Amino acid sequence: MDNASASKKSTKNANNPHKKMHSIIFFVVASCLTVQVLEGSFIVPYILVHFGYPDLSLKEICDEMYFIVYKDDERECNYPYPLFSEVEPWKYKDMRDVVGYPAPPRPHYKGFGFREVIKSKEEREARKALQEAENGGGDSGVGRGLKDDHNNTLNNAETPRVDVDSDRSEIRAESGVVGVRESHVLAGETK
Amino acid sequence: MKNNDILASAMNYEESLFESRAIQKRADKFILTGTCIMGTCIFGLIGLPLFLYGVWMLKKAENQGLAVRPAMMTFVGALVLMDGFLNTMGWMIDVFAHHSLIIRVFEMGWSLLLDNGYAWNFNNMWFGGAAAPGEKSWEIACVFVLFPIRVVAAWGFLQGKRWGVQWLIVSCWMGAFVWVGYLFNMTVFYEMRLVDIAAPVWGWWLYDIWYITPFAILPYLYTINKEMFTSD
Repeated sequence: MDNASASKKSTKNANNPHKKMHSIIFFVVASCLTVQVLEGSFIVPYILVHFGYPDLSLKEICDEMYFIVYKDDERECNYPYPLFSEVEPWKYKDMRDVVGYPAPPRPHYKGFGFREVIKSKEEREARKALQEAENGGGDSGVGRGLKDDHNNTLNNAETPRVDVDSDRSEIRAESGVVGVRESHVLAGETK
Repeated sequence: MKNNDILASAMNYEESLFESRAIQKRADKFILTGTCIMGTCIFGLIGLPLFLYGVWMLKKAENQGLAVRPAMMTFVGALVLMDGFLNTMGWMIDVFAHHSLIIRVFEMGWSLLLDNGYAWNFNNMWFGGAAAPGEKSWEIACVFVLFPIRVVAAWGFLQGKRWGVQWLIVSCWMGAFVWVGYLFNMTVFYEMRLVDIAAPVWGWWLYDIWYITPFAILPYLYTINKEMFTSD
């Protein structure tokens, strides 16, 4: 019986032209399976011990994690969280700026309608011509508006980038189109 | 006399097939149960002996010359099945259970150790859980499309179904797609995700490289003897 099974095995292996590759893959698969099981089993206990269990309770660890993440001792881990309560971002909306607002501000784009860019371009060029006429065709970098930033930056390589950005910020501030993070930047700039 | 020999060998063959099927079925119960328990993460060490016992039963039957599934196939199928379970659970708890205490501790703890994408703004958007850019999209796409396919394909593969092999190949290529997409999504936001934590980058790779196997088995799936599988 043993001889028969041995010969059967050798026949099976001889018929497999990919035997070596299959044994390498077998080794990889068996290793991965073992490591995944070990990782899965020990990661939760490790995290608990790493962050202070059993000296700290689960709730206390959760609180501490919130303090680390939001850098604010007032923000706590509400547990049990009320099922029909308002969700956390509303409750803690003043905390958004601690680590940055998770979604970018609304862009408030205009002028993307069907063939609307032609109209915008003509208006911009007319405005530019008028400005140049008012300035008597003098220094093109003086008294320019937001719309001219790009062209002027291209034409005048010495124009400092910070000027362009502050122009934009002012104009956005005037039009009220300022995101949460931008308002902080602006506040910092004005100080 | 000659006819009797043929009849006897035919009966032996039938008996052998019957016995093989019975052992296969019994071993599969241990293998499936063990793999499911291993896929629960924290109870993994309980599932491993059950799984190994099932594999051992098959190995013993194979050595006796019975027609059972090869050990390699069992390992490959079980690994993919477990991978599907583990990832499904890992990401679904973030989508649906982000306010439970243990999940908050697990997610923020894992994140503070390996990948800041989960702790950053945790529970700070209307959908709760991880708020890292793109993270929820990958979670939903994988958990509702890829992992169910992977789990069913792995079980079909273990049952020796032709569609099991085919869908396993599809699911493994999808796994390669997800790895590339996910890694690039994570990398473009590296300034937030992979800084100011205990083990950035190297720690993440050390922990996650083992989940690369679903597509490391692709060469095996392409070179396996397809005649072992039923056509239904």
